[in-house]
Amino acid sequence: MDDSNSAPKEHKSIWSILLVFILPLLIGLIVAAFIPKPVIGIISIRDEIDTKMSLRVIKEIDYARTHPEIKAVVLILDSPGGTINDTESIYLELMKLRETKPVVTMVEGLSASGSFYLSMGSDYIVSNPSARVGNVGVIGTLPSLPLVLEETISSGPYKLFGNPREEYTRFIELIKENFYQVVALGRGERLKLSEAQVLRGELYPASEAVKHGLIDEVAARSHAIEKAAQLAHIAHYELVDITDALAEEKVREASTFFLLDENGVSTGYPREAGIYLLYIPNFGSEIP
Amino acid sequence: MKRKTIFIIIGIFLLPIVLRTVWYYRGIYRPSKDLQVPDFVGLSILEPELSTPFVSEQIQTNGHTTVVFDQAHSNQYLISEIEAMVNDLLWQDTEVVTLTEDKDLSEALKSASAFVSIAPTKNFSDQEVQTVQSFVERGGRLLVIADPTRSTSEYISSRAESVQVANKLLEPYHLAFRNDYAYNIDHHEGNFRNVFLSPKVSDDLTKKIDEVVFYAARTISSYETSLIGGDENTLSSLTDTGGNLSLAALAGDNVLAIGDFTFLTSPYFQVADNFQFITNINRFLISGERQRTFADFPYFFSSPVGVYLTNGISLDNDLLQSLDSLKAVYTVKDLPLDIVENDNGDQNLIVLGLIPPNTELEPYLVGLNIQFGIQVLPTATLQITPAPTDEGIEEVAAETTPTASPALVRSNEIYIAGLGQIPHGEYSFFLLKEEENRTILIILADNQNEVIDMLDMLASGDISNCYTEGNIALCKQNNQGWKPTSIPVVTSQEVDDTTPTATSESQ
Repeated sequence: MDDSNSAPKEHKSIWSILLVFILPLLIGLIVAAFIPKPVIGIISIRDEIDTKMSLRVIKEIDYARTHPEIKAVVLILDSPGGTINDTESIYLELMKLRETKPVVTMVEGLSASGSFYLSMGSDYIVSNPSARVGNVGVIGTLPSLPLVLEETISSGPYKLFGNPREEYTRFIELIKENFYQVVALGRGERLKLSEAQVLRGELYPASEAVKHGLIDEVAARSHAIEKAAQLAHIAHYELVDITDALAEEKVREASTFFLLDENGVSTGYPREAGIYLLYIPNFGSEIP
Repeated sequence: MKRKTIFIIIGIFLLPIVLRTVWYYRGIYRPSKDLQVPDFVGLSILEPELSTPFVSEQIQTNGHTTVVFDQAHSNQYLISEIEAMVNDLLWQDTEVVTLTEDKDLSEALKSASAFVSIAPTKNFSDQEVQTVQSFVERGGRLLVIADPTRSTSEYISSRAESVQVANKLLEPYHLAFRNDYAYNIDHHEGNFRNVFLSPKVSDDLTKKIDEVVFYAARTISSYETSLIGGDENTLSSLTDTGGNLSLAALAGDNVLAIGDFTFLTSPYFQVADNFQFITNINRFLISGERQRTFADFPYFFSSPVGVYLTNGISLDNDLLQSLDSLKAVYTVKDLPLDIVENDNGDQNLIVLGLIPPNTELEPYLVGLNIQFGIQVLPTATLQITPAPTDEGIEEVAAETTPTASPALVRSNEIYIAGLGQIPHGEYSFFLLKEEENRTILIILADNQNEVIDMLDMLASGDISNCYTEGNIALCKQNNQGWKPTSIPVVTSQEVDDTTPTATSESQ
């Protein structure tokens, strides 16, 4: 009778253990499994910034913003810059991303002009020791002098060209001022250069750029990633190359952004006239 | 008991969740408080202050004025680009002439008040530099403009060449453009290379000017007067340093160098006091005191000319034909030429006369250092060292040793101070005399036919067959041409109290 009584008690205690310890633990483990492992997304810009580039990067930024497991983004830059519109589009998306997730820039090679503009949309800037950054400013080509054409009827004097030539100069100046504002806001009190110095358009080696407060640190990419993790307050994270993840085209088509010479070699100048946040590496030497 | 069990259950449930959370997450990301984008809408760039268009004051000049614009040295501009400047010159009744490659510089400058060379890129020859220098020494005005955006190509070597070409022309005046451009990051007109400049001295060229704007301009190295310059933040691209950089400079009274072309063009001439500066430049170009010499042959005059026939010259058909040819030449330069019966003392004159000069001619010969017949002369004035001429006469020299005894001119010879004695009957003369308010050209020859030959020579504009010395030109009669070896000079050994003789040293 005692045995018969002790058996249900044992069953009861096993069930109690299961109910009180194992089951909650299992459920807890299952629920915990749903807590995502944090991810640091990597977005790379390794070319001139044009429409195709901006569409790709904005898509990647949007991916990072809408995926909760991505807790921080490291933006890898090695670019001479590009068009104003595309640069600004990416910059504004980065600023929106930063409302929820930190962005750290890693400069690997060159971050000039529009590329430097983009780096201002990040919380922290790390650079390779030999990289060069800066080149704040705008270049543009004045439109044609006003003219009328026999066979083309336009409704106003600037319908054909958009602006008087002089206004175009002022437009370029306005964009330059915008650029400076971006730098001033992006760097804040870290910036050690005066406005006039920044607007000289100089390209600085990373070590100088740190002293001038244009970037934060000279270090390796792994350090930039650690910094992103630190800003996002995460550990034991996973790295995901968003660019690769979203890559639809593994082989990028040959660039048509730059004007090619008769041998098919890039001249370093944009193919189409316009206003660019662009660093032209061969400026100062013989222009073809 | 049940309550305790519930806590245990919850605790055990939460344990893996908490552990996993803490394993991955150490805090919560808070975006920077300074996260803000620029006020793109609020930024604006001010339009430049435009000057009120005005019609410039008409300038009183000494008659007809001509400005020669250089287009013969691959100049990188079009006259149509500087219509504001040209229109103002035309308003000032100034003739605007372009010097093209097929024209001779020295010919073009004969009747000119000023020579303007904008962005030249083809080298000036040494002779051209000398011609311009001679023109400047005769009171002609020179304006040289260089611009860093105006060269044959964008190649750096082309830009340097364009500076060298302009500087070669400016070299005699101690002015030189630098191969740079001026810029100002702090205070500029729409772009860092569009610099505000202000007058550095009070001068006619800076009159009524508070501020001008140059658009990518070269700076000027000068020991002369800096007219227009930048502030301490206006820097040279060459050194990134600045302070008192000169962008327009004046050498002496007659040479002006300006480091920008764009401010002359539309719409930039309307900005600030740019148009006032243009009118001041035009005033400078046409208000020089031109001293006429034989280098200006035959354009010695800038206002109407009278032809005065002294006794012995008759108005025959041949003379009338020659005068008609001459009239046609001067009409091209807008200079009326008429025969006058009397000299009213105010009008430019061409005086025709015979050798030996009669009493009617004597007043015109005063101060010309030419004497006819036997006259006593101090030998100290006989030191002769004729200067090289355009014909390339390198050396025709004779020196006399001053002695106490006077030299005499024989009755059949003519004495010219600085040249010596020459025989009668071999030469005709052009004598040029500048008076306070007019210019007189005296033509002297042995007979009427020779006078007509001289008039024809004047109409031809070619004085190359004559030897010129100061304001006197000797022309071999019958148009045989001047032979340097035939210059008769006096040596001290051959001059005695009674029979002074002339010898040709080089024979």
